[in-house]
Amino acid sequence: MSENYIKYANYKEMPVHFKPAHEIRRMIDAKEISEAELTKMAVERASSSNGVLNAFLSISGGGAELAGGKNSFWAGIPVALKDNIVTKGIKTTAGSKILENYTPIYDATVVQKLKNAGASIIGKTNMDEFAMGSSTENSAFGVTKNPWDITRVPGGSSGGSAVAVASGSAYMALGSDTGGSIRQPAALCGVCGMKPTYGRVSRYGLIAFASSLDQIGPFTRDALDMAHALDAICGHDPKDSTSSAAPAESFSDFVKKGMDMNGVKIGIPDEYFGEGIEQGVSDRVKEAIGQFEKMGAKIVSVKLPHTKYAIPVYYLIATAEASSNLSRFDGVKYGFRAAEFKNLKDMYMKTRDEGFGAEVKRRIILGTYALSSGYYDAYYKTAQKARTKIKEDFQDAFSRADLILSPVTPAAAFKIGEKTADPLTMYMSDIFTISANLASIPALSIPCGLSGGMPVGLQLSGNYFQEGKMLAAAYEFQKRTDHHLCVAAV
Amino acid sequence: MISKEEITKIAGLAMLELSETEKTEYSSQLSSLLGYFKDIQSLDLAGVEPTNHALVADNVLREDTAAPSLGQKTVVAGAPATDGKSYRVPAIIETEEQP
Repeated sequence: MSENYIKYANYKEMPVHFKPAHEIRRMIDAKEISEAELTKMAVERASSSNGVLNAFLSISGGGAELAGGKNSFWAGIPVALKDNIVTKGIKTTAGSKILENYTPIYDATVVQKLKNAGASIIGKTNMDEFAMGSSTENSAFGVTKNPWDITRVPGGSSGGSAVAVASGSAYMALGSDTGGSIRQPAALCGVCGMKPTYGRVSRYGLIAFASSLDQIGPFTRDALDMAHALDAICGHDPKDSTSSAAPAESFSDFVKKGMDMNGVKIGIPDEYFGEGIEQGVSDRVKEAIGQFEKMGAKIVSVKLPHTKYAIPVYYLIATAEASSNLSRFDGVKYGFRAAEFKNLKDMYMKTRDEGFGAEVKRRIILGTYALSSGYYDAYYKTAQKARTKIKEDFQDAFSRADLILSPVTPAAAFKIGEKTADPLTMYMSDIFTISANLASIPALSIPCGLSGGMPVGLQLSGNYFQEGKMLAAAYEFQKRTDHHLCVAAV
Repeated sequence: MISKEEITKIAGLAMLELSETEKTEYSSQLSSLLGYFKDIQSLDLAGVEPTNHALVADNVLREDTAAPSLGQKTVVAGAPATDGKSYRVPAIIETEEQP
């Protein structure tokens, strides 16, 4: 049997579709390839692989109609967008039947920014319905497959965006991360993914799941591309009152400058290396720790004692917020409406019953329960207080360490259908990623090797608005290792 | 344990009509989830402030000035039923049938 992956010695050896965007930028500027050729190739790759991978819900012609951004990094480079990011005139479904016919009348701020930068938007990617899921099995439009092994999930909820980059159809894809929905699929598909600090990127035009946790972020081939992507999409937006006015340096300039890793303190949380972790995952992450140590970093032990409460806290807060956010889907203003009903209330109830999938309904019920009188104090309010304890854990850890290093997931990609029967088993796969959302801190995932022939991700987290440091450390690691040069054989 | 009756009540609050099969399934799944979630009630949280805001809690104000907006026609265009200017919905006030 031939291998399911190919490991290249360097970027030069890689075929054009797998090269990082910064290499493509150089090629466009050197006139080795044209923007039109790139978009044509990306659209063809996306279309021809979609029958098997189902990463895209819609594929468009790319950037022909786009103006501006001639001097920008992303000008002419093919990118993809998760289908919960609204695009003017392009159907946006959030993976749900209730929005199967929804064509937005405006662009999300991140889309406007990418258009201004001249990026070529080639399509919208598949996802768990309303970003609720960890495997992209909850989409109303079919399961997305992992290009490393099509019997396995790509992770989720931004599975389509992870696969778009992993299969060489897009050089960058945007996803959204509420509890790990960018970092977990990035880890499972062997690409890079980042959740920025809460507020770093505008959520205007992101179809809301849990507003205090949602954040848009990129998937890319390497950490330098992630820095370029963050440069393009970050910044305060008057249309999102939670977006931050924190100064945004040029992340790519900062990363390119290089970072002296000598004495950089990397914290290892004991709680993230307990039982239940696949041996291959634990081994790869420990090897990565060894690599950082070799680069001069100082490895220190940190404590995150409230980690074991993160899953209940997350699922109570996220579902409570979701039950409120999803009340807008009522068959009146947009999307789907049930065909038959007796009266207004009946129309609401039938529309929502027929329009939402099982996981979405399950979470609306759970969230409504947690917010209902009689249970509010015991569940929702307790969860909000416990969230404060989780935040304090991280502030204490960052007083001892510059960055925190951990696995992204307890195991490599699981089989399609393996975890769909029991919601709790599925929720447990988010154990290492959800805390960053609860604490509002930035975190990223980069490849660090394989376990059983499937990719393993390494998570680096930083304190609030420390994306620069996090990205630079990740890139220093990638300059000295070749895990990110290992790609799915597709 | 969350009974099927409780699920029906909660579903009503959430404007969801569920089938009997769904009610049975959600009753057992939610009972097991909440059983696991109960763990957080063992935490000593006396005097701990709840996190009501993800990062900053500053009020955000802006000048009350008029700016171009999308317009009525555009806004209703995506609705499942419309007369071109407004959303169409079933009668909200129901009249009793005449004998």
